[in-house]
Amino acid sequence: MGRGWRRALLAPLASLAAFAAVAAAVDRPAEWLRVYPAPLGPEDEPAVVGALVDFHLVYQDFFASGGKVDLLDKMPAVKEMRHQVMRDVGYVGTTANVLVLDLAGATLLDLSRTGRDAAEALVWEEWNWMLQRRADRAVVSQVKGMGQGFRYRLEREGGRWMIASWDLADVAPPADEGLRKW
Amino acid sequence: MSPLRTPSVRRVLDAAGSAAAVAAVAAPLALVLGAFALRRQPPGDALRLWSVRAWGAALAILVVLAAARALRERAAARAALLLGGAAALLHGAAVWAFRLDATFAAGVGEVSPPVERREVGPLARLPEVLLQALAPGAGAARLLVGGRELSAPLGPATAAGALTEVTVEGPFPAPSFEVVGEHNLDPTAGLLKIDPAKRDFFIVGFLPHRFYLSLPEGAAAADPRSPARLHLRIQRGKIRVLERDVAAEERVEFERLTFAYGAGDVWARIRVRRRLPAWPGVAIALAAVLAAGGIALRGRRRAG
Repeated sequence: MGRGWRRALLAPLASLAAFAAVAAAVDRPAEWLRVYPAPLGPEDEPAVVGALVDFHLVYQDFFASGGKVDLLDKMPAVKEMRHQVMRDVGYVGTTANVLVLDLAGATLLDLSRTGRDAAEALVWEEWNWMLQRRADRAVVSQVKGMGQGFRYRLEREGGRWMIASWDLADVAPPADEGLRKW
Repeated sequence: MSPLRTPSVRRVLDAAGSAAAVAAVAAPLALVLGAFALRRQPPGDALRLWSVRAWGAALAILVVLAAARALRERAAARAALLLGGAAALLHGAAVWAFRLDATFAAGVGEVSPPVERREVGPLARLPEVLLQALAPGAGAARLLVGGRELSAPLGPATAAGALTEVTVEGPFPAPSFEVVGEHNLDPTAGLLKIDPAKRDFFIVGFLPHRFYLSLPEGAAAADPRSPARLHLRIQRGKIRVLERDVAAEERVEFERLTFAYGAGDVWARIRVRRRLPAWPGVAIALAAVLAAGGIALRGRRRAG
């Protein structure tokens, strides 16, 4: 390759290198080029599933405690979601009862990235619940059970995955084999 | 002497306005646009990247310098190509920046209805939309879009100005509802929009319940203002409190509260799209190429 060609290529190559450096520093180009929805990569899956697990652990403890507020700080959920849970516990509290919820089973049916900092999870959940009198924890209702699909929307805030909202999902109860439980 | 005429500044400006400099800055942009096109992402989305904006601004400056240099050197063909290319690129950026595609869920007479923004460019402004009248069976809606009054048929797109078109779908049911507490305390009432295409919920005041209302399967409402039956599901957190079909004016009791719905009004989905046409950019680019070709040909004939 002659010197003229080398000189002609030098400027575009330098420009490309500088562009790549700027893009990598400020734009996260791999994120922008991704088409959504996309499968959730192994780098984010443990954190997303972890957020769902922690949310439900705190959710059950929060109801069982009758609304111990400091538990809410441990809930990986956006402010609006925490307010919703707070309202629910407060409503049960007006009856002088405590709702005891037990997540008997959760099957992860689908996980996907829906944006640079957004993900969705489809979960089949089986819950048992009963009411206890707050004063003496006497059981005041029958133990009831239900199964329902839930679709969760998660957002990444400050590097942490949080539950942003949920909605009902019409899905059939899954067969037991080969599906991921948590 | 003007600083621009000093030899050192001149040399820098000439180098910046050279074809090599323009090509060097354009190369990464071409690669990014190619990558977006390959992945079927709108190429305009590339302008959201700060690196693309910085290189685009640099390219615009270099193109202006290159055009100035071409004019100074009396290279008319090159100047025509550069100026035409710059104008076409500017037009492309304007198409992206002013694009608008938004859908309003508007009840009759509702001021500032909720809007779903599909595509709204950074320089586009959402118009005020007001559904003035939509009589069931009338086949057309009367609207105010950005201050312009128009009658739009239900279904097909209608022009609402030179570059804007409006599509109206409806009428959909918007029954009235009432939720009343124990001993008739804290009544809450209003109208709610029922979307036949999806299951949606609404929340009343500070209650934790979600009220999912939909049309029962296979039941098209004869008069959308007062559907005879609706499917109701009340959910509180993880617990399904109630789920069944309910009749108009029926009082549904649940968890020390009462829910009822009755006759109300209608709502419509109003999609507003505004887009600058692409053809002026194409025409400018084509005119620049033809002008440059013509000038070069004439120059060659004169030289011959």
